[in-house]
Amino acid sequence: MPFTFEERVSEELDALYAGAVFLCGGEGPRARDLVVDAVRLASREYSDQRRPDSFTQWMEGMLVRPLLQADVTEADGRRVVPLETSHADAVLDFRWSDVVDAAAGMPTSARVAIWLVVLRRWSYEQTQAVMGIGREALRQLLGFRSQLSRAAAADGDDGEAQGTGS
Amino acid sequence: MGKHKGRGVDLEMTMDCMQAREELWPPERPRLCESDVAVAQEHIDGCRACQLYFEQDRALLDTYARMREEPAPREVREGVFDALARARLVREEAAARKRGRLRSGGLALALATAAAASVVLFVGSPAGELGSESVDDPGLFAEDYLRRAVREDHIETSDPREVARFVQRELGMNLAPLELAGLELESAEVCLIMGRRGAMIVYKSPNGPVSHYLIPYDGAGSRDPAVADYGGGPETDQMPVVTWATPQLEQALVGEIEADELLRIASLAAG
Repeated sequence: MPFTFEERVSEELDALYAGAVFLCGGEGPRARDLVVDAVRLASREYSDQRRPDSFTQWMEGMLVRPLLQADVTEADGRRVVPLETSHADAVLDFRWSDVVDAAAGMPTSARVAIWLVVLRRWSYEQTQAVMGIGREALRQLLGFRSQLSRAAAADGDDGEAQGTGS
Repeated sequence: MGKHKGRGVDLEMTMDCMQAREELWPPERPRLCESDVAVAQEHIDGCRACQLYFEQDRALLDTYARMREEPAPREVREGVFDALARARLVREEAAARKRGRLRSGGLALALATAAAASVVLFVGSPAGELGSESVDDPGLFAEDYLRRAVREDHIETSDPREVARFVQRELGMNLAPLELAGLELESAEVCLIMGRRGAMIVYKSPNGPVSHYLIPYDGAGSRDPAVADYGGGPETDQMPVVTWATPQLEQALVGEIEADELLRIASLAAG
């Protein structure tokens, strides 16, 4: 039985909200508003005659659009360097609260890039297209990813959130 | 650094960490083993930093995957479904204006139509009787699906005080169920009609179940009970629906009983 738009949205809702929490740096009310805005946007553009190939990915694009349209700050021009992590700093067990806290300290565009590429597994090309940026700019934004592991390493004082690479 | 030997050609290709990671992104996606891929993989195999990068990537993804399974808070779901219902109302009103069918009782008509569809789903329909000629708007089914998805919105009880408490708690409405001879209170639930949350109270009557819809609506003037007109003329084979309004409250009775009987009950309810 083909799904209606409303049913499809209902299926995606929990995942979209989790993404919105990350994108909004943990601010629940903002995340809620972001999801509602995304659904409103999607309902205006959805067409039964031209259904997207991947509804999930299409909705993810809708979720980031309001953020990209806002006056987001640019990446600070930090050059991406390979993650040089000694085994002592290797974090292989993340707490979601630490990840969100770390995200809160990033520019919005970096959160968007990391969410799409790292957490939602978009290709670099797809992410560049939806963000309207080039490869180098995307690399700079993805460089903020290292903040996630550093924040997790710093916050895991009790040692439970830390693991070491073998 | 990595070296790759092509077929019959000795190629020397090198990749740094960034290039190798980008080439193999996302790592779980199957890919053909072309030369760039082979060089990138060779780099990863020999680079501890890159291996750790992908291990961390996996750990981060696992953490996020667990979070994605957590249900979104209720207010998020309600906000989304409210937005969807309002969006559909706008579309339907625009379509109705186009057809020239929108009249002053527009809300009553939409309420009757949505209520009828909801009752069809609620009380169930024998197989084969729910034909496409009776309810063919998938949006109505979706609306009912949404109201059930809001959840925490249904009680089964014959105690009118419990229903009153339920409606007060869930909707902030002060009302008491109907207490009329021949009507036995069965259940109550929250409904979602045209973006507005209201109450649907179900009664058992000698002639069949009757559902009483109460939808808060600013601007609802007083209107006497009347059998709703679907717009298809008297020959239209539609479930009878009686609608009326008291200040700020649209009401409807829906049931698989005679329209005259519904009207009689509604008149008693309207006082």
